Amino acid sequence: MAVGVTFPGITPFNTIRPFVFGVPFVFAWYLCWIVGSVLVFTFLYWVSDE
Amino acid sequence: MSDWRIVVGIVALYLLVNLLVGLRAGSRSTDTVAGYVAGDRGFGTLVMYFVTGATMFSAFAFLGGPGWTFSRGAAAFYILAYGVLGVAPYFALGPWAARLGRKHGYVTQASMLAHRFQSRWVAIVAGVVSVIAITPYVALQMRGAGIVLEQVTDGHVPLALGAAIAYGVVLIYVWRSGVMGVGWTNVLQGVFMITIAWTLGIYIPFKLYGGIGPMFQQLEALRPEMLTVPGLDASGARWTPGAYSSAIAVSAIGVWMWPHLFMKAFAAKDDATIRRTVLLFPTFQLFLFPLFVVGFAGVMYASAPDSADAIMPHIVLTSGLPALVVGLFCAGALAASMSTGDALVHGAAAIAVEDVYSGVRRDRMSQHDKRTLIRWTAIAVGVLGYVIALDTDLSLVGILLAAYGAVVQLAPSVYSAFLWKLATAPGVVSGLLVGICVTGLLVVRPEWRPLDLHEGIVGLAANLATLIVVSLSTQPPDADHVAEWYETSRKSA
Repeated sequence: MAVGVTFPGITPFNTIRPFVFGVPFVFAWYLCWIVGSVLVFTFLYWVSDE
Repeated sequence: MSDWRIVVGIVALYLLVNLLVGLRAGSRSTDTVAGYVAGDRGFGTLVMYFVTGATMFSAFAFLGGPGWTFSRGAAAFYILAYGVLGVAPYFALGPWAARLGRKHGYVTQASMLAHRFQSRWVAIVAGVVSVIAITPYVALQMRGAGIVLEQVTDGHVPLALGAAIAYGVVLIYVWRSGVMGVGWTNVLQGVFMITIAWTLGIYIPFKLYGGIGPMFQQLEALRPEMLTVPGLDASGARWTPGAYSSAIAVSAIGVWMWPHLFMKAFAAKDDATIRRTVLLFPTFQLFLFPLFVVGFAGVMYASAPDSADAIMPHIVLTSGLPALVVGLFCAGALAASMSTGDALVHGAAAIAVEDVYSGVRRDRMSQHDKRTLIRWTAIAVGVLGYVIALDTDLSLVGILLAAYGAVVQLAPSVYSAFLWKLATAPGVVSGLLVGICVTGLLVVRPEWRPLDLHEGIVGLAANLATLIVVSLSTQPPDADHVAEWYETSRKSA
């Protein structure tokens, strides 16, 4: 998980454009990553519950 | 300037509600150490969610987050990265710690390590490191509360008085209610932090620039270097990828090692509660988005504050907002400060008594006496933090950075306890001491850091190497004890 938010993994996403809902792309990337982590944890919760 | 009396009235009302919630919460726990420190292991998902979020994000995040985006641009995004990364291990290790706590009666991180490694010295060293690291952090929270109150009242409530009033309330409900007071006030404070952050983060860009999109478009034309990582360093030059990435690494490894956060695993009702808390935690973390937006709004603002951390109150106070909004902002900032400060005071007191004092004295105290001693120690920690907070010549951020480096050094002890059966007490203690020494040395001599890495990461590497070498060179731990410990941690209730 850490690869996508640290160097060098972040490099392809480290741009201002395109703006996403008015927010620079790399900023939106970090926000999407946070939202995505909820989905990952939900999946893990579901698996561990099973 | 807003009418400071209205602001004081709103803050007074907010503090009163906190006090009532905190005092009332105390009636729900037993008169035992487990009741006072771990809430009788009965925290549900709602309280755990707000305790984790509100404790992790302090006044430093509420004021320092916008301060970083204002002065260093996208460098602040490292906070977005480490929060989720840092809490992820809690998903597996949190329930393991909770199961062990339920069986063996642990209420602190150090007591768990001492039992695993069959050595009181592990508890004493880990406990001393924890208390030393936590105390300046308490002072930082107090200072943050005092500064905000002083600024929004135009100096009518000076820093010393503001910090004393806010933390007087904290000490009263921590004294009376222990972790139950911390937990239920954190719910209130967390709701306040999130609400105020989102309100200001959406309102201010619209008022100043016509919206968040237009604001970033103007910023792209003016200061594009602030909108991509690694952003800027403290001097305004480009930060290095190594420093940015290692800041994420040291924070992600270290955040769960903060004892006041770790020990909340012992307060959770069951395993599923901890996992649900981890699952929901990122939704709390999203409140950083509006805070960062306010910081970016400050880059093109007509005037600048004396220090970057004051950008949020500066905009709130100078953009013509009504006194009611200023008062609510102040309450939000106090909520951020108090929600971390109360857990720190409570955690430091519990560790000082349960691990350090009990480890050194080795005599058995009654539950009632120990609970009373923890209460008095909480007062002592609060007073000590207050004295440090009033010393204006002290670089609290510098001390905090060193403290963070120290807390990270607990990671090899905790992870090896759970994951490496051959780890020994001498290995853990020597690794901890070497890690702290190396980190401290690099704080004093930053030019010796390789690749501009955070000093805590270098200390961590030395710590880990020492732990492995010494553990393999010393008598292995009792295999039956370790096997039972592992079986308990992995066995679902």
